[in-house]
Amino acid sequence: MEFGTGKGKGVKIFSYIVLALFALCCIIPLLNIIMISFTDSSSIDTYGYSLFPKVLTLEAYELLFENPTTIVDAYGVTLFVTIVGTFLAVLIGVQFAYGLSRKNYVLRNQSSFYLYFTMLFSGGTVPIYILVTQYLGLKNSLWALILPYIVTPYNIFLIRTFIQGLPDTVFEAAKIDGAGEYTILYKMVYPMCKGGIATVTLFYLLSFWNAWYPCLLYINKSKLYTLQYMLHVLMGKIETLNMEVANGMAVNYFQQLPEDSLRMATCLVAIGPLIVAFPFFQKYFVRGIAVGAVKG
Amino acid sequence: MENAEKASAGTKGTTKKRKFPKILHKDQLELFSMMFPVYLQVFIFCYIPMAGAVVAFKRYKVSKGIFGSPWCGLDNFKFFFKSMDAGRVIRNTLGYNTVFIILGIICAVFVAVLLSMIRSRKSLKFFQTTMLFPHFMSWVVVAYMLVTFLDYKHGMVNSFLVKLGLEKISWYYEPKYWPFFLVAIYLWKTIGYNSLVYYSSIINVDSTLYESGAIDGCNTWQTIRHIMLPMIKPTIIIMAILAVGNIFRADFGLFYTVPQNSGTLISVTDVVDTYVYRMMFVTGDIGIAGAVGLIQSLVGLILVSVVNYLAKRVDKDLGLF
Amino acid sequence: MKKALVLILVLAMCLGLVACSSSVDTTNTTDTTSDAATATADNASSSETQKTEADAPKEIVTLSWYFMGDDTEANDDVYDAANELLERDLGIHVEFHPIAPGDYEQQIKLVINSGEDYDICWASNWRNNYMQNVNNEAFLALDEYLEDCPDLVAAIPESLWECSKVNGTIYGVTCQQIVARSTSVAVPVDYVELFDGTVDVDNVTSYADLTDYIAAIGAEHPAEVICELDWQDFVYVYGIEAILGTKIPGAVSLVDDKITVFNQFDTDAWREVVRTRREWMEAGYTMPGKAEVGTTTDKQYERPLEISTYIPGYENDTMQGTNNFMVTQRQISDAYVTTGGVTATMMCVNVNSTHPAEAVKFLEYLNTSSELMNLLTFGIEGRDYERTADGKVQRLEDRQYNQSGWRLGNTFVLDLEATQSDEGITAVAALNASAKASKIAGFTPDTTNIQLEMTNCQSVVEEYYDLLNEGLTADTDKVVDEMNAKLETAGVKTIIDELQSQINAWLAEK
Repeated sequence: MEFGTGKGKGVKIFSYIVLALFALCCIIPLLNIIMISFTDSSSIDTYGYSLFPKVLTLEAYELLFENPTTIVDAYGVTLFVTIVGTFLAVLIGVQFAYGLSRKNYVLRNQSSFYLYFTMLFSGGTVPIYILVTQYLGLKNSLWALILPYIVTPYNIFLIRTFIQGLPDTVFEAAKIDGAGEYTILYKMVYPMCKGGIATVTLFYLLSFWNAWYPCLLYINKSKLYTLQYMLHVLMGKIETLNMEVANGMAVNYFQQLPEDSLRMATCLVAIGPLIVAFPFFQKYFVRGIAVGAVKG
Repeated sequence: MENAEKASAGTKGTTKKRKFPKILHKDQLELFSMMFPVYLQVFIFCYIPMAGAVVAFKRYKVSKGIFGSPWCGLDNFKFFFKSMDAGRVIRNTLGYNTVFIILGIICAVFVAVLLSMIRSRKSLKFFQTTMLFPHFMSWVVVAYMLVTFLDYKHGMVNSFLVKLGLEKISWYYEPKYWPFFLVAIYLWKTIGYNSLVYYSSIINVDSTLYESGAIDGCNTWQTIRHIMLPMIKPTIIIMAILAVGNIFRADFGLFYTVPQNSGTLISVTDVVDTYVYRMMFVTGDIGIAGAVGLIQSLVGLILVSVVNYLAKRVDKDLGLF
Repeated sequence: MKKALVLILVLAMCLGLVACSSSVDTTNTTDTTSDAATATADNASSSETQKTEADAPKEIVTLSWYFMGDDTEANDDVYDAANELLERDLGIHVEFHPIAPGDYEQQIKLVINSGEDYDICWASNWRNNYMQNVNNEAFLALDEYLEDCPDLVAAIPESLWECSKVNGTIYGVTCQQIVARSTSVAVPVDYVELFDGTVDVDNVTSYADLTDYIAAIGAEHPAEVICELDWQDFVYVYGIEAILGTKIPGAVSLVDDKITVFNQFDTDAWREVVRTRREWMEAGYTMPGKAEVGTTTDKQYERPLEISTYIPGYENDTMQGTNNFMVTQRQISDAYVTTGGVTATMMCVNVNSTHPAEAVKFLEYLNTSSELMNLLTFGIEGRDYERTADGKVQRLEDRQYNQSGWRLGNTFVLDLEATQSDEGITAVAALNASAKASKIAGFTPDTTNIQLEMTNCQSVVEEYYDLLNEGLTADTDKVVDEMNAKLETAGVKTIIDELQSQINAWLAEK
């Protein structure tokens, strides 16, 4: 696309400025967290939060890793849930999407509706909780953070759209060669839909990594807390304690609470891997959104 | 359900047998087996718990369990609609979502058009990456980020106000600012992603169209107005109707975690999802929580059916079922 | 052939997925969690029972107990020791489920409402609401079981049992502690002199009586004072008892002889509170601080006044809440015994419990055995606490176990702590005995008919409470009027009438 040259320049500059400002808005909150986590707590007290702290210190991180079991445990749990969850989700999701995309599959429309209906209708938190804890016995099990969440209809429809985008001739040729459906899926569709699958993988990674609500529901052992849930708990602790003091009985119950910088350090540690992993997926991701979007 | 599935697979298989014996039969089974894990997962985690939705019509007593509790007709629904919360909850949910849809589309298309002006691959990649960043943050993390700005004592906004010689503001107590905050945060978190969706449809437009436009002497504005926007109109419509289908659902994290569940803000942060949560955990009435959840599902069901019908009218391939 | 094989394979895979989810679960949790160990220890203990059948005639019953506490590894040793005691004396094994206080409400609601198979849980009038659960038929009526537990009945004064009743039936065992509630404040040690000089503790009748003290500190540190005063705690100063909870209108006077229910938010007292807080705010003494994310502080001027429950015997300086400095308690109102003081911390039994008799037996033991209570409150001697020369408990700086007795059971059987004076628990008992009883102590409202109005009013109060309580609105009287107008439409009248008629009926019966 070529635009008129004369006025185009002004528009380009304008675009750069606006986009740069927006990009800045997206990044500053992260920088805030990074900087505060390195700020000396007395400096926070005097000057407040600042992007350019007067005194830099590693204190918060030293504190954080002084007794690393909690954070290491939380990392382990989060990694396990994220990796296993994503793997299973992508494995079964792509298979299902493949089935949905096969025009000759007799249950195609029914399956589509079968899955779609769950996007609209749910039994509510309590019935699911009863099922997971009492019938499946998954309370305080990491599987409770994985199994109920490995099917996301939106993602499956996204992959379906990708697979539908492949030329039919590919499948026909494979059929003539006598390839079974599994062979077609794993030998041909996977390599051809790399971008789409990478996109959806990233979606799943994100949702498993960022989830704190399942942990609130199913986990009450601190050893099995996920990182996000740990952050959530850190945030709520103060209010809780005040409530106990007010309701009377917390006298002589003193608990050290984290300084601001420590809290932000924990936050950063929790989102760190995402920031690192993101650029690897970015290439596929942008393309993935593009393809998914064309067909809604 | 599973049985029905199998049965129909079987009968379909036999009907096919007449046309294409054996081979198709095998393919069908293979496909079915491939899809089986999802059938199973969805059946267990979505369809079985749906039975629990009857709690909406029950006066729930723990001693008797969901199915043993006495029926109470539509009492739970009446309770919701009679309560003062109902008006507020519905107004907020629909209001915010409407603003989100309209502003969301305008801003995202705007950013997408700006992105299409960028030539340099490096800059493009940089902008795309940074803009997507908010999309990756959980609401808990967003809440932390917001605190760095709005904290009364140390927050950057208040420090700035003090520098200007103004009074500090206790942001988490002032409902009047929050509709703007919530909209801004929503846009901040979603624009990056959505604009990429539009951007991709812009670059998918046949570039000869732009060239012919340039030959005809279109300036940039005219190119955008008469070539670009009409071409991405279908995408915009699809995105809009999909969003309309979800208009009665709100993001729990945005309305609960981000304002830190501050009671003072409840008049502007209470939406259907926070109401259901409150009924379940604070008031402890799972009957009412179930009833409101059911309303939400039904509204969703109706809207989505309508939307699906509309989508099919726009383009036959767009319908989801 | 091939297709059948594929199908079988896939089926096996799926089943394997589910099966392994549950089997991995048990192994997984056994390695990693303290508590699931007891779940599998179920199996283990059954074999143990066989072994010890000779000396233990009864079969060991396992109870599952939810309460507030932090879940740490150090708990395991404490719980093992506790189970040793319990198995020895009662033939009961307990699965301990401590839940972080901040999540207690959500988690226990799910446990209760999902009909999970637990036996005992903690409830109160401010978190996991006792009344609400009784209304939902979640708790077991204990009266018939209490007949077999004379020691438990004796361990708790009659008046407290009276207050635990709902419509004449007991649904919970109160964790006996300080019942006589008064308004007290924690004053940082550096400011005690100033406080005593500016505030006449015997004659505090309103917020305004504290103004001199706040002003003195506020003048030195303008707008840096966080005043974490909450009106709900000041009601003892004003002599008002809320019936349905702090954020639902409906209260009676603690002082008047005539029992009239009124809306506590439509009183001069509330208006005065709001006005005074606003004055402090406008004079630049205080800053709003509650809703923000707070932290530990070591600056005494930031928290010159904090509400705390007055417990006699803790006159020695102590740390409190999130303060990083020592505070001294000052009692600024008379003490009253109210239903709320009793239902503030209770243990209740699951209505569907499979071992109700054993559960109540366990509660009896918990409320009478100082050995068990000491263990569960202070932890392991040597690791978590030491004995001082006079036999008091000194918690160690680097203790691994943290718990408060009031969350568990009868604090009167606990040993004295080093921070307590020798009178300790006797002083508490004396105060409990000498405190004035509320006119409606023992009355518990039946809220079935006013649910809707209560929810409505709570929404309204929620919207205004912090705003007014923290002095954040300028035109205070106008906003209070506005709030009451809204309460009017929310049905405050219905609530008050209903309460009044219930109280009248209760009085007539009495």
